[in-house]
Amino acid sequence: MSGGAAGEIIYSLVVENKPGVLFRVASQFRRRNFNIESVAVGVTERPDTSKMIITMRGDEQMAEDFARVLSRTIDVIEVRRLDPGRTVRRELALLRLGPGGLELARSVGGDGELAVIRESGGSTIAYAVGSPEYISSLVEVLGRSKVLEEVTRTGTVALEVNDS
Amino acid sequence: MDYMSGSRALIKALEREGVDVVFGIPGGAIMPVYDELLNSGLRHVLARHEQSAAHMADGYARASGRVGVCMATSGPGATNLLTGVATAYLDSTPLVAITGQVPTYMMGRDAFQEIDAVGIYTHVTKYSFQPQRPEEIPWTVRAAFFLASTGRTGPVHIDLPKDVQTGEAEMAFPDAVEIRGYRPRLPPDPAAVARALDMLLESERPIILAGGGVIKSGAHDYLLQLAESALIPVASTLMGKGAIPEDHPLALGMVGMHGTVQANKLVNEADLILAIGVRFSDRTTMEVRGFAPDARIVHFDVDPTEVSKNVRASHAVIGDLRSSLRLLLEMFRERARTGNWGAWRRRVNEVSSEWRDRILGTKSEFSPPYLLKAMREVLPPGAIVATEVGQNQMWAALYFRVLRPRTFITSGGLGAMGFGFPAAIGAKAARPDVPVVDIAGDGSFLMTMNSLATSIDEKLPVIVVILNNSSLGMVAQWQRLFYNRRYAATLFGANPDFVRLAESFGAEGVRVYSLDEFRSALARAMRTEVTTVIDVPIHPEEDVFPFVGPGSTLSEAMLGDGRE
Ligand SMILES: Cc1ncc(C[n+]2csc(CCOP(=O)(O)OP(=O)(O)O)c2C)c(N)n1
Repeated sequence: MSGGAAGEIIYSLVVENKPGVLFRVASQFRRRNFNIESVAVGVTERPDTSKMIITMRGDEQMAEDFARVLSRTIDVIEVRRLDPGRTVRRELALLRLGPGGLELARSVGGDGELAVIRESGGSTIAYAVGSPEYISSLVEVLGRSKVLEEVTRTGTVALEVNDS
Repeated sequence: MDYMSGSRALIKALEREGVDVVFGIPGGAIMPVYDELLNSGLRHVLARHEQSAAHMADGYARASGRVGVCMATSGPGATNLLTGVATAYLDSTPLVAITGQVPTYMMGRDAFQEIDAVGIYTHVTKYSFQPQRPEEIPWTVRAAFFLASTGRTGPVHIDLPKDVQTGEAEMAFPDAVEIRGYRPRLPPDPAAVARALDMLLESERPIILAGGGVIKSGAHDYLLQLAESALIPVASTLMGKGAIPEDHPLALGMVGMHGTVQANKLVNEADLILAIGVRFSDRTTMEVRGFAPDARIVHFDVDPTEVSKNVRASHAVIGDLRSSLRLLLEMFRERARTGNWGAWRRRVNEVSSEWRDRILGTKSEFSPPYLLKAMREVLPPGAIVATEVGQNQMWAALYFRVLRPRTFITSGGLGAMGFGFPAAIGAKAARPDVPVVDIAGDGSFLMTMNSLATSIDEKLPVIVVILNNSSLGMVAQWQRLFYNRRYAATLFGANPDFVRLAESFGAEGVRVYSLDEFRSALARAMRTEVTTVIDVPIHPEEDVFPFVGPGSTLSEAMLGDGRE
C-alpha cells in the first residue's frame, strides 16, 4: 500500500433502494479486500433511494480505489467522501443488561446519552446514542464486567456540517 | 399497449433493438423464448457449447460495432456461457446475454438446473437483471441495450425466470430509459481538450498510445488525421490494433510484453503520452515503475474510473473519444503550429526504420512470422482476423499488420483459449462479405473446435489456420525460458489429424509444408464455400520475440538472439 498511513475514511453513498444493491456494493469491497468498519443503510426522504454510510481505515490509495469501484457500480447514484474533520457521526446501540449493568453503563462518560427502554426482572434493555467512540467504550466496559448480555449496534451514520 | 407473454415481449423488444441474429443453445428453462423465436424473423445460430455462443456474439459485436446477443438455459447453460461473457467484459464488448431461470416460486430451493445466475454474472457484466414480472421485460431489454452500448461498452445479463417468460401482461415498450446511477459523460470539456493540446505542444517527445477505445468509438479517422498533421508516432495496445493502418509510416505496432522493439523503445523515451482509450493493463505497461519514466500522461477515456487506475495521469479528458479527438484535431489546426519536434522525429525514424521489418528469433522460414506476412499478402485489406490465445496470438499481434479497424479480434483481457474460432464465426455472421480467418494454436482450437458443426450448419464459412506445434506453446515457451525446460503438462502426445477432423464435419482440411503451399491453400480457402482448416505443422520450439519477461520493464526485452 502506498499513499501514507491508515486514516479514517468515510463515504456517503446514495443508492437505489431495491433488492441486490447491498450485494453489489459488498462484492466490490470483497474484490479489493477493503476492510470495512461499519455500514449503515436506510431509506431517505425518497422511498426509491437509500443512503449508505461506510467507514473504514485505509490510506489515500485505498480511498481512491474505493470511490473508483463504487462509482462504476450502476446502482450507486452518488459517491461522496466525507471529511472526518467536518463530519458529525452518531451511532445507536441497544443493550441488554444484567443486574448492576445500568449503573455501570451510566458511569461511562463520553459524547452520548443513555436511556432505559424497558425493565423486567433483573434484565434491562437500554439504548445508547452517541459518537462511535462513546458506544465502543460503553460496550467495552460493560463487556469486561460481564453485565452485558447482548448488544446490537447500528453502525455509524454521518453528515457533513455545511457551515463554512 | 399490447397484451402478450413475457417471451413474446422479449422477442419483440429484441426486434425493436434491431437485433438480427442470436447465438445460443436451448434448454428447459428457456424453451418459451425459443418457441417464440420461431414466430419471429430473428436468425438463431445454434452453437455446440454455450461458451462458443457467447464468443460468437462477441465476434459479431466486434466486427460490426453492434450489440451481440447470446442465449442459454439455466444452470449448466448459464455457467457454460460465463467464460464468453467474462471475455466480453474484460474487452468491453457490447453484449446482451440472456439466460433462462427456474420459475420464481422455485428459486432458492435448489431446483433442477438452478444456480444463482445474477450472483455469478454481476461480477462479469455491467449489470445483471432479473425481471420478476413479465411486464418488466420491455424496460429491462431497453435498459440492457442502453447499458451495453453506451459509455464504456460491455456485456449486460438478463436472467429470465420461466414463469416470467410464460406469464402474460399488458406491455409498454419504452424508447428511452433513465438509470440514475449511470450517466455516461459524452461530450468532453473543451477546456480539458485545450489543456491537453497545450501539454502536447509543450512536449518535446510526444507519442500516441491508441487502445481499444479508439476502435469502439470510431475515433480512428480523427486519430489518423491528428497523427498525420502533427507527425506524431502511434503505438497501440493489443486491443488498439487497427486504430491506425499498421503499414502507415507513423505506426509503431504494439507495445507491451510482446510489443515491437520500436514501440516499446519509443514509448519509454517519450516525454508525453497521449493515451487514447487505453487502460494501461499490466501486459501493456509491464513493470509500472519502468514504464515511460520521463513521460507525462494525458489520458483520454470515456470511463472516468480508468484515470490514474494503473498509471498516474497528469491530465485527463473524459468523454466520447470520437468527439474528444475531433475537438483536439480542430484546436490543433486552429493553433496552426506544432511543437519543437524535429530531433524527436529523427529519433523516431531512426528506431523505426531499424526495427520495423525485422523478424526476431525464428528457427526457419517456415515459421509463424513469415506465414503471417504471407497471409497479409494474400488476404484483402478488409479481411477479418481473429486469434486464439498463446503464441499464435502474439505472433499475430507482432507480425500481422492490421489495416482497418474492427478487423482484428482477439481476447485481450481474459486471454480465453477457444475464443478465436467461434468469434470468427460470429464475425462472419456480421460480415459475410469479407473473408474471416482464425489464427489458431492447436491447443486453443481443440477447446472450441466443435463449432465446426455450427459453421457448416449455418453456412458461416471461415478459415482456421492452425500454427500446430503439438503443444501448449506459450506455456512451453515460459518453461523453456524460466523453468529450465521442464515441460510440465505442455507437450501433446496425441493430436487429432486436423485434416480428417475437419472433413468429418463436412469442412475442408489441408496440411501445408511450405510458404507457397500455405499461400495457395489460403487463396483456395477464400474461394471455398465451407470452412477450411489449414494445418501448419511448425517447429515445436519456435518462440515469440521480442519478449519482456514478467517483472521486467519495456526497455528490457529479450530479442531471441541469445544476447539477453
Ligand atoms: C482457457 C484457458 N486455459 C489456459 C490458459 C493458459 N494458456 C495460455 S497460452 C496457453 C497455450 C496455448 O496453446 P495453443 O492454443 O496451442 O497456442 P500456442 O501458444 O501453441 O500458439 C495456455 C494453456 C488460457 N489462456 N486459457
